[in-house]
Amino acid sequence: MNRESESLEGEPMNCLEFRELLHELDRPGTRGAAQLDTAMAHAEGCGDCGVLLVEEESLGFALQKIAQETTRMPGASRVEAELLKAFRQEVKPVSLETIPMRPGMRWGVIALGIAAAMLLVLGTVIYQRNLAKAPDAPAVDAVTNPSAKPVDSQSPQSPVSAAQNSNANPTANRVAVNAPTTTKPTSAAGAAEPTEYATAFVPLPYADDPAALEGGSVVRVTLARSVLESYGLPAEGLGAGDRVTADMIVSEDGTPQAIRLVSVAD
Amino acid sequence: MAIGVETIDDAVLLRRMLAGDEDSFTLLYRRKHPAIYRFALHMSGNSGVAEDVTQEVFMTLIRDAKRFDPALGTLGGFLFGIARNHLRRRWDQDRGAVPLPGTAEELDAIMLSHVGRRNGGSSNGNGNGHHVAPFPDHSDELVSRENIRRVRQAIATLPENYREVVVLCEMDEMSYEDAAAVLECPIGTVRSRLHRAKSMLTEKLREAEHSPVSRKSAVGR
Repeated sequence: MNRESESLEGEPMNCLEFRELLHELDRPGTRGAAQLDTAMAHAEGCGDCGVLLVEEESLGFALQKIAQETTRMPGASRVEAELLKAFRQEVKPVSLETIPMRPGMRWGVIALGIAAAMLLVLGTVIYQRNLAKAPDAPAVDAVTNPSAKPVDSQSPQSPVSAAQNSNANPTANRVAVNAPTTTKPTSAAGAAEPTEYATAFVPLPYADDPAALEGGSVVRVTLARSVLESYGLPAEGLGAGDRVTADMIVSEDGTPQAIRLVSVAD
Repeated sequence: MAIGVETIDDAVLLRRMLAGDEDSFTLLYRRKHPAIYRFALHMSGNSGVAEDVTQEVFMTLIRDAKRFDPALGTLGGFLFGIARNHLRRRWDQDRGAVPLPGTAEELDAIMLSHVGRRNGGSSNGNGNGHHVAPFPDHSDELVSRENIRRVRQAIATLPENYREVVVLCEMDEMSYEDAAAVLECPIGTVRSRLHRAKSMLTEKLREAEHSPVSRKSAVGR
């Protein structure tokens, strides 16, 4: 017998197709489920396929009953107790406080904090510079100040080598702040121009990668003495003024890497 | 954390479990063990083996949970895969654990004990000499106790690869995709095996219904 039925969608189904889809009529997402109405219409008009459908439903109900009745494990509680015992032996509780942090990761977090503070300082400086650009108050040198460039170009050391040398003995450089034997003139414009004396560059605490200085530039900034102290540089003996002139090596990504103090003598 | 919160995702529970949270492990066990046990029971035909396999599956989870990769499938699928491996190892060690028609009696006993509990503690009656219908709801009327016994016996005689698709796809209502991940075979293979397995079951049930032994057994009950 091979009868055809017309579905609501208009596509007929024959016995062969019905038997092909019979086992997945109640399975969501399958071709059988998509053609359920067509299949039912076929089974209504076909005695043989109607019998197959009843057998399939009966089998489905039986399987579900068997599934329900074979779910309960008689020794579930005993097994649970044994598993918990094993769990306590095998798995040790871990709290966030005790998770070991790699040294590099710890320094990374510290460096990130310092970098954030530095950026804040730089932002403040740039803001003050913009204020100072007013015609009656040209007080602060900064990134684009042409006077900062001669310092870089005329320096006997490149910023990288200066900082690397500073890395070798940061304590000595800090001492040099108070002993301007490392001074160098920053301008060759003559006696009429002020002479600058500068310490060696002192790497900032997180600047442990010399490669970060490649392609960096020197930026002249004016800092409050308190900010200088926050970098770990001694600020005593620098005069009574509240502000200190300094050069900073800024890496390509804008992160300050090293700092030196600059003293201007007329 | 409260145990029994079904809304917590398996992956979240697993993460907490790996961090040492005992409650999360307990919740995972309570959530997952019934299906694992059922699978092991139908595949082994032996409740003792099924219980051992279930315990071994969760022991493996405790020791080796980091092996689970969510990109490769669900946690349930991962656990079924472990259960399947344990069952195969047992079959290799002890051929006696392969389900035989005789072990079907044990499944009958298990199922009757469940019905008895549901109906007040007696497996076949209510204590007043009256027979209690095992399945009081409407759909249950379509399925007699005898029919279920025949289906269970028919499942036990299916070849292993057909039996596992029936247990996974029909009893655990697993999708073709998930079953394919557990069985490590293409989706089309799962579909065709299930089709073939159900045809075989229907055929076996027809034969059982018409056999004199079956009729006698049904009358005897």
